[in-house]
Amino acid sequence: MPDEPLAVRVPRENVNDETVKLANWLAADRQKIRAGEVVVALETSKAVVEVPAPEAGFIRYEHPEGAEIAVGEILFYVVADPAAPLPARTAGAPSAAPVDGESTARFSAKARALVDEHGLDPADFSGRGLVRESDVRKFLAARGPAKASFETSRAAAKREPLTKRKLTEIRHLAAGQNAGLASSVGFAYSMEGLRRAAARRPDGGGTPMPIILHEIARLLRKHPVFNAYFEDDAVHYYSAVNIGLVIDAGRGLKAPVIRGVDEKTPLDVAREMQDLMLRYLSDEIDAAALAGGTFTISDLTAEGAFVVAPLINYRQSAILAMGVGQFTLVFDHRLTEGRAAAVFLRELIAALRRHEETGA
Amino acid sequence: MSGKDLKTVVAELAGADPAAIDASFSLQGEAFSSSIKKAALVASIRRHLGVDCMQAAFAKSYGELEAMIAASRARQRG
Repeated sequence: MPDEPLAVRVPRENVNDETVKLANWLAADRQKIRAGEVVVALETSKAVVEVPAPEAGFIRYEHPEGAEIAVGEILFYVVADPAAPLPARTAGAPSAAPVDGESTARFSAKARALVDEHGLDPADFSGRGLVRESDVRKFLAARGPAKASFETSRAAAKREPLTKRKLTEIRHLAAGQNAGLASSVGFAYSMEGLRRAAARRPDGGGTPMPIILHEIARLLRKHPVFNAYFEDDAVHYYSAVNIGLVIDAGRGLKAPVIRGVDEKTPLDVAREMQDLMLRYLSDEIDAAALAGGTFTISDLTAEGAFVVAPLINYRQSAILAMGVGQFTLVFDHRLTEGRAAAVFLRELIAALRRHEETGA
Repeated sequence: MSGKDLKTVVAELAGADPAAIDASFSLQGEAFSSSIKKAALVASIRRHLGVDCMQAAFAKSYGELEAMIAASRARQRG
């Protein structure tokens, strides 16, 4: 935990934005958080950006949801004592390095070439202002000859920064993997029968996914450990069933959420899915549409994938992967075991086979 | 409803010029090959034309789609 309140400032995600909108707090004020845990979602002019806590501690809000905040302004504090008063806002308040993965340092051309040549992390020079070639050579020398020879013995590689969207995706998925024990169970199942049954009902949308969501929602009520998450040595059961659908069709990997699936008919779910697909293609998926998921589905059958091993999302305990001829349930072994996952999948497939036969 | 007509809705999703959309325009080509595009088409018709036509995902051509929309409108009015 930080010795004194650590101010985290609004990062500059693109050169055109002078302000961002605070879309959602993803952790409560004064909540205890881990290093790397995503705490807030910001809306920029181009994307939703999630900001993690740089250190473990307690989070203290500086702004309400919906606020417009200037780039560089303090966004939140990470503190050791949630009850202690925060410092008066000053320009000199200690700040975390920008959480977008890039260094605050600026590099001369020769310095940058050396950094790339030796595969160094620009973040190692954070806070130095202008970094010259001599600074990089001093850094290399200080690391010692053994490490320097290791660095130079690696194959040359061209450094290409990842996109902000990918970095956000990494932070979000990494937050879900922290200390997780992911395991999986797979069953053979082909959706061809279900697709034919759905196609016989064009007034129902004609696709099998609403039926699959309907049955999963029912089973999540029956097996609530898969509609939950592990935290602080306890299982936390969600009261709602909100299912996220992984989409990756040219606008980035996203998992918009359909809320209250167990309270909706398959036709309602079909309509909502259609609306989400339109919003995705129109770049209208905002932070609110991505938040609040309790379970996730990833369907890669259209890509011809047989075996799919997706990552469990943050604050969830399972994800269903649909491949050609196989359903796989990836689950958090801290909360349940393979047999329970097998029972869940077996019951799901049995329900889907009944739909194939009845066409209902 | 946004005031967009059906040709504009189809053209935007297909990435085509609305002037190129006629009755024979195929809705089975690459532009509408994915289930995501088909789903978005149904949603776009609902959003911009105010017509709830789930069968629209099965239309093979623009002409067929027009007929489906007309039938759905008649049912909604009836």
